[in-house]
Amino acid sequence: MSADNIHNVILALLLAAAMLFSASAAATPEDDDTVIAQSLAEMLRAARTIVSDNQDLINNPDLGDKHLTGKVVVEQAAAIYAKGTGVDPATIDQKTRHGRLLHAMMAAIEQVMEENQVTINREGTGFKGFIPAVYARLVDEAFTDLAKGEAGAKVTAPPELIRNRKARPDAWEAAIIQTKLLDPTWPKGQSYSDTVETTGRPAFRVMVPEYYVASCLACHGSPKGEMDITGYPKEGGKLDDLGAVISITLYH
Amino acid sequence: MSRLTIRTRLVLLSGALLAVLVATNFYLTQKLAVNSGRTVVAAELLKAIEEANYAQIAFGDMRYWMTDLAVSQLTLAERNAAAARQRMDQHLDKLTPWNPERIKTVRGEIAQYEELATKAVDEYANDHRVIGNSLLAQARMHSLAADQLLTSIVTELTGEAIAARERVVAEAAAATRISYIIVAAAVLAGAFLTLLVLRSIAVPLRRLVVAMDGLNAGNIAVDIPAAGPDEIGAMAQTLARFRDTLNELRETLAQLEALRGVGRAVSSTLDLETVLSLVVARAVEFSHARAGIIYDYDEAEKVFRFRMSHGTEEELASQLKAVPIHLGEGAIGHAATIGSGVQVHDLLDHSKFAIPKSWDALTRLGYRSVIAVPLTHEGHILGGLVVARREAGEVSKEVVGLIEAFATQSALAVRNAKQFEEQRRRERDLRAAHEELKAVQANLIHAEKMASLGQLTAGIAHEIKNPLNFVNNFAELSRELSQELKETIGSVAGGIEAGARADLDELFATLTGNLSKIAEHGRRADGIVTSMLLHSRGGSGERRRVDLNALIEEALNLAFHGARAQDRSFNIALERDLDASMGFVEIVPQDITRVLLNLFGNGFYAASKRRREDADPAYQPVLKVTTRDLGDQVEIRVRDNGVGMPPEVRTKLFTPFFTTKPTGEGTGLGLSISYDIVVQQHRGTITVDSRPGEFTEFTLRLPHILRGAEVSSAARASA
Repeated sequence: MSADNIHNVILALLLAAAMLFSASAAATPEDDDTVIAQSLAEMLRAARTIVSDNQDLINNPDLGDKHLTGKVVVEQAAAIYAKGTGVDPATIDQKTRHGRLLHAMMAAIEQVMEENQVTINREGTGFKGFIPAVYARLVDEAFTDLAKGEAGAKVTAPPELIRNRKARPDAWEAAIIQTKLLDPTWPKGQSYSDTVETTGRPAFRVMVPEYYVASCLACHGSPKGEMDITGYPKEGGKLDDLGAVISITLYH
Repeated sequence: MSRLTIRTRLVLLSGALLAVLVATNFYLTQKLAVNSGRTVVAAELLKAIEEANYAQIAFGDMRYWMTDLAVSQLTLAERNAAAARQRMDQHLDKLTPWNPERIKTVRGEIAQYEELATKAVDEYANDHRVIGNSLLAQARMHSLAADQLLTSIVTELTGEAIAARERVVAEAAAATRISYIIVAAAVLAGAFLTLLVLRSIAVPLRRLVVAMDGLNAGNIAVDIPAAGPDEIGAMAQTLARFRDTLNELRETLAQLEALRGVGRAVSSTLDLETVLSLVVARAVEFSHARAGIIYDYDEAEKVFRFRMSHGTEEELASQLKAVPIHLGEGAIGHAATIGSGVQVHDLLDHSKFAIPKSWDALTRLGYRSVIAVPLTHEGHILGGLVVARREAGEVSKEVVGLIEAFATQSALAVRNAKQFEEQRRRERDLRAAHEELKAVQANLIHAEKMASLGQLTAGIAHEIKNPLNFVNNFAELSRELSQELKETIGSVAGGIEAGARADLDELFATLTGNLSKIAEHGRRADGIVTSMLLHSRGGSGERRRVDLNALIEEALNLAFHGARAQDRSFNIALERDLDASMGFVEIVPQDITRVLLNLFGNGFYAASKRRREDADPAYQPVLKVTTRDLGDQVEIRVRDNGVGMPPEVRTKLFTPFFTTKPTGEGTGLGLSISYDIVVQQHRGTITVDSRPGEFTEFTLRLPHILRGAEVSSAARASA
C-alpha cells in the first residue's frame, strides 16, 4: 500500500466519521478542523494531479485549445476526490464550514485554470511553465483570497527545497518541518496539526506531508544541480523523500 | 706576472671578470629590486582595478538577480543575488585599503539599494506592484550612485597604474643602458687581462717546447728556460732534471758499454795483462781520475804488490813498485780488510788508517783523493784497484759502483788467469807424474830385472864371495909376506949393491902398493857383494817385542862410531827426545836397526856435506831423534840440519838404485830397502820433509802390534 493510498484510507475514515458525527452528535472543533483541512488538502492534491497528468497536453505546441478548462478540471478533481475519499464533494453541505471552504477550494481550482487558458492554449510554445507546483501555488493564493480570512492554504517545503519565495514556510511551518516531519521516527504520511496563534489570531493548522513520487523526480531528482525543464537546478531528491508540505490554516 | 703561478693568474683573471659580473649583477639586481617594487605597486593597482571591476560586475549581478527576484520570486534568484552581494563585499574588502572612505560610501549606497530592492520584491510578492515600482526606483538611484563611485575608483586606479608602469619602463631602460656600458667595459678589460695572462703562459711555454724538441733530438746542451716560480718553471725544472737524467743515462750507458767491453775482454782472452790494462784504463776514464793502479796480493806475506798502472807518472810508478802495501795499510789495504770499496776524500787530511809511503809521492804529484776497491773472489783477496784523482772530494756512489764492477771483472780475470796457471801447473805436474810414472815403470822393469838378476847375483855373489875372500886374504897375506921379504932382504942388504938395492926397494914398494890396492878393492867388492846378498835376501828375522828406544840408542851409537871409524874428523851433535812411555813395540829388530842405520848414515852424510860446503863457520851439524807414542802407532823422527834436498829429489828418494852420492859412496838401495821394511814388512809409513840448505826430516810410523791378517800380509810382502 502506497503512502497516498494510506493517506486516502485515513482521509476516508475521517470523512466517514465526520459525517457520522454530524448526523448523530456534535463533533469537537478540533475534529472538524482536521477533517476540513484534510479535505481541502485532498481537493488541492486532486486538482494538481490532473494538471500533472496533462502536462504533455498542456505543453503541446501544436495544439491550440486543449479543452482543459476550469470546469473540466474541477469535475475531474471532484471525481478523484470522491474516488479517494468515497465522498462526493457535491454532497457536502455548502452551508457548513467544511462545505463552504471545500467549495472555495474548488472555485479557486476552476478560477486559476480559467485565468491561464491563454497560456495553456498558446500554440507554438512547448513548455509553458504551467506545472503542478505553480498551479498549486496559484490555487492556494486564490483559495486564500476566496476564503476571506477564514482559512489559508499553501504548499510549502523544507527551506532548501523552496523554489518560489512565496512558498517559503513561516517560522511555525519551518519548525514543524524540521522537528517533526523530517524526523526519521515520524510515521510516514502522518500529518501534524496544532492550534497556534497565526498573524495574531488563533488558528488550527495542519501540515500534510507529501513525498516524492517518480513523476516528481523529473525536476527534483538527480543529478543534483542539473537544470530541469524550467531552468531551475534539480535538488537531488530521492523517491519517498519529503518533497512538499500542504499547509492548511483554519482561523477560529 | 711571471712571478705568479698560472693558477694564481687564472684565479685573478677569473676573479676580476667575476667581480665585474657580480658588480653588474648587483647593480642590475638593485635596479630590478626597485623596479620590482614599482612593478608590485603597479600590479597591486591592476589588482585593485580588477577588484573594482569585479565589484562592479558583482554589483551588476546583484542588481540583475534582485530584479529577477522581483519578477520571478524564485529563491534561486534570491540566492544568486545574495551570492553576488557576497562576492561584491569580498571585492570591496580588498579595495578598502586603497580608499577606505569612498569604499565605505559605496557600501552605504549598496546597502540602501539592497534594502529598498528587497522591500520592492516583498511588495511585488504581495502583489503591491505600484509600491514595488516606487521602491525599486529609489533603489535604482543608490545603484547608480554606487556604480559611479566604483567607476571613478577604477578610473583613478587605472591612472595610477599607468603612471607606475611608465616609471618601471623608464627605470628598466636606464638600467639596461648602464648595464650595456658596464658589460662592454668588462669585456674589454677581460680581453686585455686574458691576453696578458695568455702571453705570460704562451711565451715561456714555447721556449719550453723548443727545449723539449732539442732534447728529443738528442741535444743535451739545449738551453732550458730559467725555472720561475710558476708551473712552467716547475716544468722547466722537471725538464732540466730530465736532461740531467738523460745525461746520466748516457753516461751509465757508456759505463755499461765499457763494462761490457771489459767483460767481453775477460771472457775472450786469458791474457791477464791485456784485461787488467783495459780495466784500469776504463776505471780511470769513467771516474774522471788521473791515474789508476792495479795491485797483486801476496797471500803469504799479506802485502799488495804493484802490478801495473795507467796514467801514473814515472816517479809514482817507481815508488809504488818499490814499496808494497801491507794489508790494513793505505786505502787498498783498508778496503781489502773491510771487504768493500773505500774513498779517501782528501789525502792531505786523513787519519782513518795507516798511511803508506806511496802517499808522499801521490800528494807531491798533486793527487788529492783516491778510490780503492779490493779484487776478491769467493772471499779470497786477489789484488786491488785504485784510482787517484787530482781533485779532493767525494765521487758518486755510481762511480764507486762502476769501479767495483771493474774490480769484479778484474778479479774474474785474475781468477781466470790463476785458474789457467793452475791448469797449466797441473798439466805440468801431470806430465811430470807421467814422466815419473814412466821412470817408475822403467825402475820396476829394472827392479824386476834386478829381482831376477838378484837371484842370479845372489848365487853369483855367493860364488864370488869365496874366491873374493881368497883374493882378499891372499892379498893381505901377500902384502904381509912381501913386508917380511923386504925385512929379510934388508937383513942381507949389505951384499947387494946399492943400485940393485934401490931397485929392490922400489919393487917392494910397488908390490906392497899393488897388494894394498888389491886388498882395498877386494874389500870394496866384498861390500858390494854383501849388499847384493842383503838386498836379495829380503826380510828374514823373527818379529818380537822390542824396546824401541833402546834399539834406537844402539843403532845411533853404532852408526856414529862407524862413521867416526871411516872418518876421524867426522863429528856431529846427537840430540835425543825419546818418549819413555812408549814401551815395547812388536817389530823385526834387525830389519828396523838396518832402517835406522840407513837413516842415521844419510843424516851424517848430509850434515858432513853441508859442513864441507857451507861457508858459515858457525854451522854445527846436528842430528836429532825423536820418538812419540801415538796410541796405536809409534812415531820416530830423524832430523838433520844438513844440505836438505830439492822436491824433485824427494819424489825419487825411495826408488831403488837412486842416489845423489858420488859413485862408489852409495848403492841407491838403502832407502829402497828401508821403504820395503817399514811399509811392506811392518805396515807402517815413512815420509820425508826437507828444505834445501836447511834440513831433512824422516818420519816413521809403526804399529804397536801387528795384527794377524797384517802379519800374514806382511809376511807375504817380505817373502
